Amino acid sequence: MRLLFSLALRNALRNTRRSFLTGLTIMLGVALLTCGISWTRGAFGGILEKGANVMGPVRLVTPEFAKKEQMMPLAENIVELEPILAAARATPGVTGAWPRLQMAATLTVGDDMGEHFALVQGAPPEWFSRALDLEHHIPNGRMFATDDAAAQQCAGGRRSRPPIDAVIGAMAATEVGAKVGDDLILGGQTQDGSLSAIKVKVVGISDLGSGPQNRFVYVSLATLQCMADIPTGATEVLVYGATLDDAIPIEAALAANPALSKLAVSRWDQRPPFSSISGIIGALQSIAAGVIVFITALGVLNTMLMSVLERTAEIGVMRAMGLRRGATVFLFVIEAIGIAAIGGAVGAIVGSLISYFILELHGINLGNAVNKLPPGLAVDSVIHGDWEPIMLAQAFGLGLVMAIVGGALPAIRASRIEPVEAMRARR
Amino acid sequence: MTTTSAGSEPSPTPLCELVGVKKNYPLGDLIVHAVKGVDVRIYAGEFTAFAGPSGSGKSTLLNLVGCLDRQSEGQVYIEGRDVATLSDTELGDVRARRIGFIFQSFNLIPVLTAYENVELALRLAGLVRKGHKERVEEALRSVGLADYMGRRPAQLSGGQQQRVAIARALVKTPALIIADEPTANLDSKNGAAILDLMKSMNADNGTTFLFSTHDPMVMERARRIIHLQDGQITGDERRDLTNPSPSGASVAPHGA
Ligand SMILES: Nc1ncnc2c1ncn2[C@@H]1O[C@H](COP(=O)(O)OP(=O)(O)OP(=O)(O)O)[C@@H](O)[C@H]1O
Ligand SMILES: [Mg+2]
Repeated sequence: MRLLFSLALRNALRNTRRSFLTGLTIMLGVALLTCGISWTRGAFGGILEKGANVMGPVRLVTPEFAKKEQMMPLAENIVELEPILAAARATPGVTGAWPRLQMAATLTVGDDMGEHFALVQGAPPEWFSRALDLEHHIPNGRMFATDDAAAQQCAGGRRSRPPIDAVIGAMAATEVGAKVGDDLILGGQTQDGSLSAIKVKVVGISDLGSGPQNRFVYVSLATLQCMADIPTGATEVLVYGATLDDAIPIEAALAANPALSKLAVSRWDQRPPFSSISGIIGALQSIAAGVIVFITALGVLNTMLMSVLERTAEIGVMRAMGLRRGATVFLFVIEAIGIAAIGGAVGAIVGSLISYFILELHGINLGNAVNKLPPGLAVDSVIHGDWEPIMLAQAFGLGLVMAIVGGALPAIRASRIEPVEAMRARR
Repeated sequence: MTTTSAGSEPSPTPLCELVGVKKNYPLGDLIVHAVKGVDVRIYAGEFTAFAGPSGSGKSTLLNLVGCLDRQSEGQVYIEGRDVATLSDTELGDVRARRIGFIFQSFNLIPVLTAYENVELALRLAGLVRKGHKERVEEALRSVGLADYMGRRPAQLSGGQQQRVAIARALVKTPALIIADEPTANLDSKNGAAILDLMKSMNADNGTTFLFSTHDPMVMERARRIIHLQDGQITGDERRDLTNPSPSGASVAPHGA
């Protein structure tokens, strides 16, 4: 056994050029895998984190709203917010709870009644800060002020003054031709379905780095309460913990709270689109990793097969002297693993260096491509890798898998060599 | 038809016996009849050569005797056992433990030293016991390579490589050593030396050798020469009165 093992490792060093190529193939495969995993983790991790923050890690809505969610049914709102918010905020682990209203509206600048639609989000400024960090993503202008103006306007009497602030996403602004300081008319509906419009003043143009996010219009909660004629309520209450993982205990606690028993509680990953996306992401990652392992294994297979053919006589001699088929397989698989161990180690290190110093620290700029993604998938233009030390071991392990997969077929081929080949051999 | 009973037969059981053996190879649509019905007995202690022109079936016969291949027709007996009744694994064990092989192109394992090449044969045969190191060294010493044990095949001359191959075959103390044109890749001086070495092992230890050749120099040194032509035996000459087979000289073993 020890002699066979030593023979396998010496065979690995026998044709240094070929072994080098095999090792290089594995090295590239492993490095690619490391970068790929790091980068997709970064990309999807970012999407999930952002998505969860925007959707609310845990959300409270009326059961009727949950049922017809796709239609944004304004009528199914939580009428009395204060006791709900108080109960949510008192829950252990909760760092913040805010109401939100969201509706579709037409956007009009000046006299030009355009055909432009946008989603309008209304929530307290603290929510915009927590979920979007909005105040730091307004390169042009400023964040909207308090709710006062809207509250006054809605109270009736002196209409239209003072003006109501709004922040508009960069892409929506370009589409309607809005600039900071322009008046913008939002046309929507009240909760009972009648048309309603409200005039706001564009105080800032936001750039959140992703197409979908830049198509929104952001206003205060009171502004949308006024437009939707929901004076004190909101359709959703979004509840946050310190980290995304806290969503699990928080959801459990909220669901168990009798004060909230009339509401539907759900976690971000239980709601579309994430309920289906996280599974798809996992599957896609596995497929991509599988493809890389497969292609690398093909490279290993190719070079190992050459070695097997070249050593037919020698294998025949050993088979004639009593080498069993199983031991022949062992001989070649160990050789492949020996080469893969070196190639895989180098590949894991090179891949990690690239992942960390290039992907994670600098990121890759996807430019405008991300703007074509459907709304809801908030993808940043610059995607950073997410590398972890454990990936060194994972990538190295996958390198060994490549060697075993690629080495198996040549090894089986070798074990099929009959002892009589020893006699036929001419060198 | 007066057949002598086994009890009164003075000759021992042959080490190896072929009865009506044929070997066909399919070659595309054709069938190559490499061996066309051979009857032969090889006795322990013999030093026998299959001689014949290229393509006459020498290697094919050695393959069959060496249990490297199975015959198409007829029976092959090794130490009294019909190889047709043996499974592949049993055949492998016979090959590994009872038969040593020497090849024209030496066929040493290039990444192993002379010592390791010989040791490998013991290990593959499952014959590693206490003191196997001495056994390996003794085998190499007996072929005159005491000072070359740590060398790899590439660092040895052709003659030296073939000596390692002999030591490798010998170390198992097999019943039979099969050598397919063992001197064909050597110059005449080295070839003669190798043959003398094999011959002295035959004389000193009684090791049975069966080899093939078309080299007159080699035939000169064989005690028994079985002539082959076109897959058939055309002659069987015994050239030495010390032949351990008592059945007399120049007699074909069957049906003559
Ligand atoms: N695997 C095979 N497939 C087809 N034909 C074969 C095979 N092996 C041998 N033969 C044929 O069988 C015949 C006998 O071959 P064999 O190798 O036994 O001859 P040989 O006497 O050893 O010749 P040489 O002196 O050239 O080594 C030849 O005609 C050869 O072409
Ligand atoms: Mg031959």
